[in-house]
Parts: sequence; structure tokens; C-alpha cells
Amino acid sequence: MDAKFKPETLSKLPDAMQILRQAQISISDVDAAVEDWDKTFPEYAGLLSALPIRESQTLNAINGTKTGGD
Amino acid sequence: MAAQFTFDAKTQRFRYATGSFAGRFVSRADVQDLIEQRIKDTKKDIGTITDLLLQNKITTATWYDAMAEAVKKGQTQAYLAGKGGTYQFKSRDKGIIGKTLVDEYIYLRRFAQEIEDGKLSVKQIRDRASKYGDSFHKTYERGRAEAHRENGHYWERWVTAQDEKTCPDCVGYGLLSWQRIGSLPGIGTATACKMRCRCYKEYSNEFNKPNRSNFDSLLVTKNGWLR
Repeated sequence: MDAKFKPETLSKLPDAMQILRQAQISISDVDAAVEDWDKTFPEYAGLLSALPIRESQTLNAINGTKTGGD
Repeated sequence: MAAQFTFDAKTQRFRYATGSFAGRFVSRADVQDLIEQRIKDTKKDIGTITDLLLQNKITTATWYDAMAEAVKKGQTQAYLAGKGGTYQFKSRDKGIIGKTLVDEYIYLRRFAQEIEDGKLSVKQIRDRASKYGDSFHKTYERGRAEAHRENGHYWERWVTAQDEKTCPDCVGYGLLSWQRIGSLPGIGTATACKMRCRCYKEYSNEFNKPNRSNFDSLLVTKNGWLR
């Protein structure tokens, strides 16, 4: 049987309230996740912060029409 | 220059907005591959963090915090990728990720306590830690499900991954074909393969139950060949 691992220094683990607070998602968490994604996948940078497409662009894309500006 | 993207709520697909691929869709499979890469990266990070703990270079509390941070980042990214990005991210979505994280953190806290109490061997700690990150695919699929439901899709169909992880439960759900959206369980929630599940769902915005063969299913708006 494998020997058990025991940390040399004991530490205080979070309680239930701290866990609940840690699990909350803030705007800065979202921003950090997006920033990390952009760094990790440079070729897909901006994917998570994609803007909504306009309806006219959808139709143009489906019809194979080049989409220009306004 | 990095490619910029748009998200098309009608087809539920990302599209390249600039560069040589401008106007082209980013396939669901491509986004799923990125999530798989994220899972691998997170597992690597977790391995490094766990090594530090096992060398007594960090305390269990520090290890817990680092693990929790890696899981939060990965879960948020996976959900956003499924949902269609930050502009579609609402209060409800915060709640969904928050609930996922609470569940993960409770397991992680229990795991950390067992380490602190000296109940686990080095091998057990490594094995258990290596499973964190597996649930990102499940969260990605949850994001997709929410986005499709919000954007007028009425039907869903379970598509099995057809890999060695596909379990009999997944095959069974796959055989049910098209069902009302929300009728089938979430990916990775009610099957024997659990977090290892790599199946996905297809969605339809048809008013009546879709009744099409594999060939017909190619001719739908999401492939960009029909309006």
C-alpha cells in the first residue's frame, strides 16, 4: 500500500461562506477569462468578446455577398 | 493582427469579421477543439500546482486557491464559448457558472481536507487532481443549450461523439432523435461516461418536429447553404 502524503505545514482551508464568495462571477472574472483566452489562443483572439452580427450581414453571408460598411 | 469575430444569434455561430477568412463561419468542431485544448492546458497547470504541493513548496490552502482559480477561468471560458461571447452573458449565466463552481469547489474543499488530514497517497492525489478540467466540455455544451433556447430554437438532438468514451446511455439518447429542447439531459450530466462525455447536441428552430435524414440535415441554414 502506498504511503500517505502529509503536508509539512498545515493551513486553514476556506469555510462554506468563503466558498460561496469565491464561486461568484464578477465582471473582472469575465474580463480576466477573456484576456487569458486571447493570450492562449492568439489566432482566436476576440472570439469571446465577439460582437453581435446584424441581420443584413447574415443574409449577405448566406447569399455569398461581400459585406461592406454602412 | 488578431482576427476579430462576430456572433450570429440566428445561426448560433461565430464568424470571422476580418482577415482572409472574413465572413466565414467558425465551425462548432473548431470551437470544441479549443475547449479540448483548454482542458489539456488546465490539466498541465494543475499538474504543476500539485507537484509544488507534493514537494511541500506550497501549503494545501495555496494549492486549493490556485486550483480554484484555474477551474474558474476554464469554466468561464468554456461557458462563454458556448453562449456566444460576453455580449450575450446575462445575470442568469452568472448564476449557472456560479452553481457549477460551487459544486466543483465543494469537491475540491473535501479533496484538500483529505490531503491535509494525510488520508491520500501521492498517486491518489495526482490521479484525483488530474480529473479537474474534464467538466469544461459539459459547461461549453450548457452554454450552447442556453444560447439556443434564448434564440428561438425548439428542438434538440443528441449526437454521440463516436469515440471510445461513448457509453450505452449516450447511444440511447442518440436514438431518441429530435426532442423538444430541454427534454434530453445536459451533456455529461446523466450518462455513465459523466465528465468524459464528448457528445454534443444539434438544435433546430423549425416550428414542427424536424424529420430529416442525414443528407437533408446538411441543407439547413446553419451550414449557410439555405436561407
